[in-house]
Amino acid sequence: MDSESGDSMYQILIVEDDVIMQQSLKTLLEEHGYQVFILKDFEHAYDEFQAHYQDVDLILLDIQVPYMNGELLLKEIRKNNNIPVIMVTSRNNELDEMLSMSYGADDYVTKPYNPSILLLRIEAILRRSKKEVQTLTYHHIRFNLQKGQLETANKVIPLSKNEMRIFHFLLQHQGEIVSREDIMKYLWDTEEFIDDNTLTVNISRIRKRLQEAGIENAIETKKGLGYILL
Amino acid sequence: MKRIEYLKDRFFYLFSIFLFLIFMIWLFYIFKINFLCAFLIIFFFLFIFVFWLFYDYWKRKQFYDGVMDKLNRLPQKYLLVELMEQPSFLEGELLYRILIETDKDMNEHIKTYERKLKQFKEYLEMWVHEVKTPLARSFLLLPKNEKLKELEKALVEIENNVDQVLYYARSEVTEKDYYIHPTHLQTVVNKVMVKNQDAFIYGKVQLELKDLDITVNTDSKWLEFILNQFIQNSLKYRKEKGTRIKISQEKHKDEIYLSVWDNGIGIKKSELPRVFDQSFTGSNGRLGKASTGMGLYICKNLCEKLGHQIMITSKENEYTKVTIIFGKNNYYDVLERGKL
Repeated sequence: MDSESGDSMYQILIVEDDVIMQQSLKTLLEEHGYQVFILKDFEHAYDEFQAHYQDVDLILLDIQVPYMNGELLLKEIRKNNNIPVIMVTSRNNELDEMLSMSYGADDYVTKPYNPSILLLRIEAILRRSKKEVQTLTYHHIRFNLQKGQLETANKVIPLSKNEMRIFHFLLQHQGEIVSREDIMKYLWDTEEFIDDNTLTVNISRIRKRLQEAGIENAIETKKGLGYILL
Repeated sequence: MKRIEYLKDRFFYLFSIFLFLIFMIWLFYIFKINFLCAFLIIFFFLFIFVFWLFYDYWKRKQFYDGVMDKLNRLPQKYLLVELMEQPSFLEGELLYRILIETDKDMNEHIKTYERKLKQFKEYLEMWVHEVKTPLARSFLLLPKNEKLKELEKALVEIENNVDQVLYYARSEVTEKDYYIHPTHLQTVVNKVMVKNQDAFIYGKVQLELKDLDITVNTDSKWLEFILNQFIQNSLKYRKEKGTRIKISQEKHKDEIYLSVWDNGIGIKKSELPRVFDQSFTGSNGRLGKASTGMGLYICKNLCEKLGHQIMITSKENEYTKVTIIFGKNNYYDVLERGKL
């Protein structure tokens, strides 16, 4: 799999005072192909941001940072900047969320969060903010994520929402065995609550679509283990 | 206040008057006072005395009966003194002053406890947030590994229990810290489902969602907690195979019913009325499954605060269905219209 759009890596700035969180977030994000910066000087947070991180693609902002409250920092940033911001907090109440949103946060995640959900949200926000057509390729097929269709030189094959997501997941793990549970978890993270049977049906539909596009036996079933996209 | 009680209370007084009269008659007799004159003096004296007695009785009766009546009708008896009329006689006034004094002292006493409770709650809230940071750290540090599934499960369990403490504190404190506004049911349900995905996927639990695309007036965080409790219960008290959970919404007149139904082990009919009681665990709780008996109690408290109704129906070995009823809240409708 290769991505046509992401020549340069997306840059993410982490504003978080817990050192272990900083590092584990950094590792997590770097593993998924982002370039990560960490804000160090909380006392002059806004100055440091102005000086170095004006051009990042996204900010992960903890509400409780020393010296300055995250919401105020967000307010400052919003004065002349439109960078997408995801607020991260352990305060779980309605007012904080509303407040953050009103200050211009793009999303709001409460601790402890599920890492894969955080990644999905980052992905979704970046895709929205960049507005570029994201396409992936699989053999001779172009996989258009925006329109949810497979495109070959002379054919356009539409996929249903679930088929698209499952294929996307398989494509991200091309050549690896992925378990049925992993696929289902990926879909549940995107709030598609499919069950065993639906998954089976969807897989066989994807096989059919790929056949239409001219690729036979693309998805192999490994008994007791899961599927593999060749 | 009865007449006989009043007279009994005045016994010594009446007795003295009686002796005094005897003494007078004796004196009149000794000094040979004119009979008519003696009669008039005694008659006049008795007349004034009886008149005074009735007046005194009536005044007291008026006051005490009024107080008793208010006391009986008041649901909050401690508010009595606020409604009392200022009495016009000494004992009444003393009583009034005593009540005011003790009330004031009790108020201060209560204030102290309120403050302590509030501080305790604030500490608890802070503590919960402190705990959530290392929890978040643990989730991030946890490598993706099938062998560590159990560890992840344990962490999720800790998270749920910590949340329970937080919402227990929130539900017990009288101050208002929720925020009711139009909330999309599907969004809240989705959050809960994403949170519990492992239990559903690995446990092969079938999920059915029905008609959730609707908006209700509630606090979304509180509702999320409540629904999570319901789902936790459904997952905990399930049968070994073929578990199904259904979350559905129905409209009845102006009210919206949100139900969580499961085909689990159900609840005994005799225990059903008590499941919302604090610390009630019942026979299911003793089946070797850790149960604090707090979950549904907290849910009920939260629902009461939010102005929702909560009810449960169940048949042993067949199903359990918990329902929240969202009433139509005119007040918020008015507010909403005001914004336009």
